[in-house]
Order: sequence, then structure tokens, then C-alpha cells
Amino acid sequence: MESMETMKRMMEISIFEVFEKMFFIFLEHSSDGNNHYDYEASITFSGTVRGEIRLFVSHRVARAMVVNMLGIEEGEITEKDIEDCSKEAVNMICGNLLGKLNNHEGTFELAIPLYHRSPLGITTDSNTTSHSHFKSDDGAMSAALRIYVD
Amino acid sequence: MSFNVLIVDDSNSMRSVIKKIISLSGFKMDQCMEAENGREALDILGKSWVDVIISDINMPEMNGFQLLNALKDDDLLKDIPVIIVSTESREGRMMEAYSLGAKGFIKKPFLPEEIRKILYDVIGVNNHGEYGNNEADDGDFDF
Repeated sequence: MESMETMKRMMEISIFEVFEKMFFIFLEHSSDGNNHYDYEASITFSGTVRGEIRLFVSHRVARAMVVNMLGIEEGEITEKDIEDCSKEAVNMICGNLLGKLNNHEGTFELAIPLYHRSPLGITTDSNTTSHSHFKSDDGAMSAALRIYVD
Repeated sequence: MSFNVLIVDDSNSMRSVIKKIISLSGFKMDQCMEAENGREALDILGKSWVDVIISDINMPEMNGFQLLNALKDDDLLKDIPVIIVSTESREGRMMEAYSLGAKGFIKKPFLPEEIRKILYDVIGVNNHGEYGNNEADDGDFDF
């Protein structure tokens, strides 16, 4: 199994790729892990490694994702649009990450993504969970990769 | 000549994006139908003429592979070309899709040009809607 640090780096590359290609949002690493997030999308995966990815976004980032992906006006954005875009983002990030891992870790199955308002956060056990924080012109976002230990 | 396209994806956003890309690409689309999963897609296929299907894999109720299987077993539907658009880009998944009859595979996230090119390639027409030359131009198009 890849080390947690390697998997984290692979996830970050996937996040940059998805946000640039699908949402036209250019992220930078951030050391600030204390931002407030309004929405969360998560997805679990299973295979030789089991785990989950959680994506936390602020209201501003979520709206930028919708506007840039769907090409609609700010005033037309619905909560369903935010849910759809957030779920699609975490789905693409996870698929992209597992594609990178596939050469080393066998095959994986993805579950259906889930969406939550007002995220509750995630366990911070550094042996099984890795956090990545980002900033952009549209605000902050964060992601967590958690590996389940049987 | 214009074509009827069926987009199958549980994400309304992704269906909208794909629909918009096709519209802006210059692809001669007549009707664009949408389904949230394979089951809905089969309902539409039972009622409407569809020239090409663009489908996700990971969907609730009936996923993209189950849809491919159902199409393969139906004499009336088995020849409709299916393009899989999915986050699941691993080689094994792509091979599985092709073995079930998919004619194309696009990895998400994708560039608009990729959708356009594969549509023309799969349906076997050029940019002017003519059969026989399935080479799509590589030129950009504006959003």
C-alpha cells in the first residue's frame, strides 16, 4: 500500500486537475486549516484499500463552482446546483485518485457520493486521515482522505 | 442530417455541461434527451429514437455497465453507439466497458474537444453531418 503521504499528494494532484478543468478555479496550497465551510461532499471507495474522501467548500467557492461549470448567472443558482457540483467534484477527484493508485493497488469500487450542509468535520487521527487545505480567488476549500483500518 | 442524443448521468450538472458542450460544438443535434440512470434510459429508448447514448457508469438503480448489458441483449437497441463518460478511468474499467459494447470512453474531467471528437468518431460523420469521414476538426470552439 502507498504511504499516507504519497496518497495525499496524489489526491492533491487530482484536486488541482479537477478544479482547473471542470470549474476553472485555480487553487493554491494553504496552511490555514481553520476556515469555515458551508458544504461537504463525500465518497467512499473499496478495494485492496478502503477509505473515503471528503471535500469541504465555503459558500463562495461552491457558488463559483456552479457558475463556472454550468455557465449560469449568480442569481439562478439553486441549492440543488451546489449539491450536484459538489458531489460531481468529489466523484471526479476520487475516480482520478484511484486511477493513479490502480497501477499499484488493484481495482476499486466507488460508492454514490453524498452531500451534507454544515459539515461536522472528520476525525483527525494522522495515521489514517490526511487533510489538505487550499485557497483561491474565490475563497478556501479543504479535503480529507481517510483510510479505513480493519 | 441531425441526431438524437441521450445523456445518462445522475448528476444534473454533468448532464447540463455535456448538453451545452454538444450544442456549442456544432454537432448537429436534433433532440437531446436526459436520464438519471440506466432504468430511465431504457424507458426513453422504448419510446424514442436515439442515435447515440452518452452514459456515466456510477449511478444509482441501474449503472452504466448494467445499461450496456441490457442494450446488448436487445435486438432493437444493441446497435446504438454508447460513449461512456466516467471518473473511473482505470484500464480494467475501460476494457470492461468496451467488452460490453461501448464504442468510446471519456475520462472525467474532460475537455470539450474530447466530447466533440469522440461523438463524431463514434457516429461516423464529419463536422458537416456527412457520413464516410469520421475525422473531427481539432479546432477550438467558444463558450
